[in-house]
Amino acid sequence: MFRKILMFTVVALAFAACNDDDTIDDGGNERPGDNTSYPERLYVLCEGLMGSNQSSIDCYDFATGTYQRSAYVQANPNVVLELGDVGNDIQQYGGSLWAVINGSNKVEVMDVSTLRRRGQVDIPNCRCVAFDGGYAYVTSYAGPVDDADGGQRGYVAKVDTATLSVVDTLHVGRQPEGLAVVDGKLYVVNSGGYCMPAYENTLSVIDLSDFSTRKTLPVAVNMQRILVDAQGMLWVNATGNYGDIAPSLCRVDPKSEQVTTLDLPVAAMTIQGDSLYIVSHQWDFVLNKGVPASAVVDVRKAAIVSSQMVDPAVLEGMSPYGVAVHPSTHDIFVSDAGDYVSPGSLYCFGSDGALKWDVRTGNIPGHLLIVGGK
Amino acid sequence: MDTILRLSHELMNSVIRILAVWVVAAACPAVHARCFPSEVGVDSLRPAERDSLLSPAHVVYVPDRLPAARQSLSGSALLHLSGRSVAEAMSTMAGLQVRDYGGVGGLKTIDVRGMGTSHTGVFCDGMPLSNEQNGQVDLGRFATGAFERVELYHGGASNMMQSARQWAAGNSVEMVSRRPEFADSARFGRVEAALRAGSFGRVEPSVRWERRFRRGFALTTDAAYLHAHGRYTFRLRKTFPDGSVAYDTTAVREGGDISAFRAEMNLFSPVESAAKWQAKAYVYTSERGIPAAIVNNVWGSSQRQGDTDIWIQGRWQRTFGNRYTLRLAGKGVMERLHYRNPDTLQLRVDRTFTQPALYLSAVHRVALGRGTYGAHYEFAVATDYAFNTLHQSSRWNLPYGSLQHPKRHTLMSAVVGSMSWRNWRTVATFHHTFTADATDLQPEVRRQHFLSPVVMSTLRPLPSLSLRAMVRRHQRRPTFNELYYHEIGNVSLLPEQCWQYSVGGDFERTFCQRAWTFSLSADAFLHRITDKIVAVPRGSGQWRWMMLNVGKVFSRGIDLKGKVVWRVTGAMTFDVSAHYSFIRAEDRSDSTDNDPQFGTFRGQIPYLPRHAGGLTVLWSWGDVSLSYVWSGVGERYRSSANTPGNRLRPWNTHDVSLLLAVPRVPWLRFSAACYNISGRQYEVVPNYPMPQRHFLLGIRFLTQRCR
Repeated sequence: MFRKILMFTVVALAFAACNDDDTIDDGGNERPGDNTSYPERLYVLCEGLMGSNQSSIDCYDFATGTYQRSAYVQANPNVVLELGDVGNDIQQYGGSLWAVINGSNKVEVMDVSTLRRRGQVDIPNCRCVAFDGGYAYVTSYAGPVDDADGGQRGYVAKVDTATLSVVDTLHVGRQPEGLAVVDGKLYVVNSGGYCMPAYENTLSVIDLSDFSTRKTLPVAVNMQRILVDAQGMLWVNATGNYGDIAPSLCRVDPKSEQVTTLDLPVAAMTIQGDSLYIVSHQWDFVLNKGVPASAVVDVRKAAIVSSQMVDPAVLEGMSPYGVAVHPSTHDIFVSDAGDYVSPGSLYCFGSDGALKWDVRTGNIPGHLLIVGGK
Repeated sequence: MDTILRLSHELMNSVIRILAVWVVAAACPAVHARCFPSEVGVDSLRPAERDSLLSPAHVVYVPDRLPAARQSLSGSALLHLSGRSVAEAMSTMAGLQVRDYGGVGGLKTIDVRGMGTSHTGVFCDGMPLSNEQNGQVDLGRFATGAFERVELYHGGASNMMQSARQWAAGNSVEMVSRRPEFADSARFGRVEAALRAGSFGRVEPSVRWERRFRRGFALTTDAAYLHAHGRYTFRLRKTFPDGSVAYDTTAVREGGDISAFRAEMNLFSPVESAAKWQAKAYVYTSERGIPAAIVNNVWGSSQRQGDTDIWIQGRWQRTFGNRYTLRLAGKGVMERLHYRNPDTLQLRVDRTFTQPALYLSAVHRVALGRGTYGAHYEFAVATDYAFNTLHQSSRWNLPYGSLQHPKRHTLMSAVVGSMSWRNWRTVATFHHTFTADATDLQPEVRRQHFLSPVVMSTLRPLPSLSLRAMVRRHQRRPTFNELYYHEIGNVSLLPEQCWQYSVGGDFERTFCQRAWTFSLSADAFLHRITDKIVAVPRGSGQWRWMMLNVGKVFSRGIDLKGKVVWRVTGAMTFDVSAHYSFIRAEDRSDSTDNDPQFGTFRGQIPYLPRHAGGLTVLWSWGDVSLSYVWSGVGERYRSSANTPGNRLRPWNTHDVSLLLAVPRVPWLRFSAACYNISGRQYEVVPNYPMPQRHFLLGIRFLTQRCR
């Protein structure tokens, strides 16, 4: 018996002595596509569940047809705690890639082709980024608190892209989200997402020449993202109040301030040429399940040209969460967040909407960006 | 992974070998001495209490006359763990996982056999501790030192005098208050004062006064204060596959400070009195930081929590004649939780949740005595009524979530029949739960009824061997948050359903004039949870989640425990026990998500290790006693998609504790403990790093020698 106890103890101690180190996440790569002559890359910013520190950037290389998961970690294995918690936006400016990492209170700046880290800008509760004239503009929820009602305004930080330092800030409405620049003016979406049921419904119009607010423009309740088309028109998606005010897609003419509203829910959207590509995921309270849908809008006519952007049979069962369109082939990329707690997927459809391939991604693939390669 | 497998194989092999030896020994005809004791009508409130007090038992499956799989923590083993919380102490038991967010004040709950925290009922002196708001009872707040015994029943307890609530619990944890043991000379009772101090700036003075009154009543009064700054260093380290270091850094965990005060008063009926009763008043207040997840660029949070829990409970039991026993019990609770997140970088929150509750219970038991062929029959009827409500208030008007005010009436009843015949006993129960819920915003009353069976059976073919089998169904009711939390909640939720099937046995034998005692217990189980409440993503936008009954989990596994006690001399004892649990809990929710690499279908459910085990060695020699505890947990995954990126590495810890009495100074005791000696950095909950090596020293003054 003693021998057995001794043996057990020895085994236990040997087990204790063994050092099972955490290794950096290899992510793994696949080759879902084919070799092409296109030099672009598709970056997929995966949010990861809040508090899980599982945000990651995956990369699809059009030239080789390979998909690398956790590409950021491969490029920057020495960064403590990797990319961070909940990536919320990814944009390119010159040779840099900017990723807004909301839960890590920072904007990560990387080389656009190698993903090597160039630095970070600390902005608490940051949401989205846009650029103009050597400066990055980043929205943040963390503005001054109004002690009377406990409400909190957001702000826009002006960041020098050369020094990666915040040079100025400007207060805007509550819980600002997306932002876009047209003709020297910055349009910031105020969502009021924390203020249920008193959501915001305005755009803050900021003159970039003196970085001051010119006016606030009422558009729609609880807006999220904003895009600019080739005619300089603004496209904003509004989530509504999850009650009697339905989600919608709005076109705002920045000159006449005229608003055209389409009754179209939007989870993610992108503009390519004169087409606005949309995926959505609306909850059906009768069926108790999410209903995915897709559509294409002609931005000149502000009319829906197709309500089946991609094969609905493939879309069925997905939780579409991001969309991108290749500038030359017009292949459509749709990301699927699945159940939001396990790895998502990326689907590639031809311009006719037929499925070409799909690949598994990191958790909650939310933000797709195609960058011109070199 | 390899080491875990190797260890588990090693464990399995040795257990099988030991089992083979014992089965041969047990078959020896000389041991057919005693028969299964089939007498009934004994006070079943405190079964096997004496035994556990006399022996230096660690965790043992106490062979019960009733067929529940019980593990008990008592005696000097519990004393060695007295600086730890009940949750930490229970990690030395088989078949459960402790969810620990780290630090002195971090939330600690237990998850039995991977069913989920809220499938386990927690009872203090037979009365439920519950939280209708979120279903979690923080066992980190209960100090082991306040209890005489902590027990875990896999599949629920099976006492004939237990309440309907206890019959309805899928698994139960029973904490039994320390009842004073007076020597005959002690007229005026005794006082015990203790001071503990250790890592994390922890200081913990406590005092206990035990008084016996002339008629034999006993009154105990306990008060304890705990303060800790809660800071500790942790290490973040990752390597390349070739072993070279990618990063290696050390940081300090902040925001885990705690100040807590606990006071309780217990009144016990005289031991000899015909009516047994017991009353308890309990007050707990705390003010603490809530440590946040450690993520890139964020090293702490400013979230805080204040608690005030007050409850008063009592129970009374009496046998009338020799057939009928009545037990009445009641409890009144007022719980207040004040949560703040003053961080202006995030959503500012300042909310108070108050949960008053009332609980009443009655149990009737009739022993019918000897029937045909010498069988004994017993019947019991148990009924419970509970009222729960939740008041919420917010300092700020704006933060999301309309404040609902749910109220819930619960009526539970159980009809129990028991039959004993020779060495065989079967208990069959039907328990019924009726709930009626309403809120201010949704005044329409939701009514739900559930009827569930329990059948438990035990057979003792040999005096040293008992076998048991169990089939039961139980429900886990949706919590107030799941039903009514703004936008996320779903009022049409049904309870989670769980069928449990289990077979097992205990074997215990002594050799060489009781110098050696061997015991072994093994259980194999299978359970199936349907209608599991899962947060389902609800499209894009702020309100991403919706609670739905869509989860399915199918689990099977084994729990093994072995124990050897060697009384070397009259004063010296060795006590070695080991446990091992295997569980394969498959997520069967979505059969379409069946990608072999990334799919969730048939993946092991999150945070649940397939293999877990532990070893405890207790050596006592007179007034000195030394304990060593090893616990090991195998690899786990963050998600049912068991991908390498979601893997959580295995961990194990070594704890040592020493208890010492100074010779000829019986009123003074010392204790010293070192936890996680090897300084292992691990996480139970991902991104919540646990402390490395830490210490606790204690000194205790007693006016009279005891325990």
